[in-house]
Amino acid sequence: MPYSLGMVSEQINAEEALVSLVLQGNDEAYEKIVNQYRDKMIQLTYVYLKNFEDARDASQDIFVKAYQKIGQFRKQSKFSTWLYRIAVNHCLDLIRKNKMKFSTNVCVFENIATNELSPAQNSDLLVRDDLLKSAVQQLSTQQQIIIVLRYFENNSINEVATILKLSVGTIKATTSQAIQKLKKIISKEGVGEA
Amino acid sequence: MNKNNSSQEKFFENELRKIRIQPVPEFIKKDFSKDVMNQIHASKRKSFISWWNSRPVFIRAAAPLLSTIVLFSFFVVLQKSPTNPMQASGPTRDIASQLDMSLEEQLLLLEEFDIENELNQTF
Repeated sequence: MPYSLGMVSEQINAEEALVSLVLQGNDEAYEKIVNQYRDKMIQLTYVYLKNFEDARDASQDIFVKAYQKIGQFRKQSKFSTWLYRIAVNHCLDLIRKNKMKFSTNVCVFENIATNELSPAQNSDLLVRDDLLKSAVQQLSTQQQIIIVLRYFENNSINEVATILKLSVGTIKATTSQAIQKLKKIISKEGVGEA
Repeated sequence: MNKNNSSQEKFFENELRKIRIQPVPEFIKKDFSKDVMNQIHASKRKSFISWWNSRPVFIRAAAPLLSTIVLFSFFVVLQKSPTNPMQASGPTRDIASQLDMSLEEQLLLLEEFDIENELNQTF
């Protein structure tokens, strides 16, 4: 769905209003925030944990943690940036504490076949997407997270840097390395465009 | 060469924008926010309990005794309060009625009080 600047600023204002209500002790407002971010949060944690049940439990813990810490939200960044920062820390903690061993075979990404295209075009697209999907799958979790936050969640480089607590330079370098790796993988598997 | 590299990077960036994460299954979404809110309420209760448990032992031990004393003093104050009908300094008739007197005795007492009041007011 294409976003307009007006829609985005409207969404930010509505979000700020909800956060202010939560700070005044309104739990219903927080439930609205939870519903708003539910899917994105589960998907983000799923990229780390590679399992939807674990992702659900982790996401619920993240929302509880965010509620307890909401007084510390200084409104210096977007609420989503602040929330994703808690999410990333929580997932890294989980991985560290539980020494989780994740199956790298789990594909967290999906194909994007477009109904508007002809079957032939669609099958071309599917082959290309499948290749891209399997290539992205071969990237490290950190590189995948950067790609998800940057391209899937539409965050700016600065926001990704804030969420991951890394410098802007590191994000740029990691993105560039990821793209080089993708190029290499795709050209090895034989796609003309790369 | 550089131009070619950056255009390739642009191409990949555009491709990456199309990437989608697997959709969340319905059973995972079910009752999600309700569960979160329940956990929040449980954690609020837990935080009060842990706050109470972190108080010094003598405070926790003294609490039932202190609350009994406070409650007892409240009732004592209430008993002695001028607004308490049992202790009212209001009409003498009320006091007289509490002294288990006959009606004539009560009237006599009332008269005495009235005379006394009048004398007090005169002098």
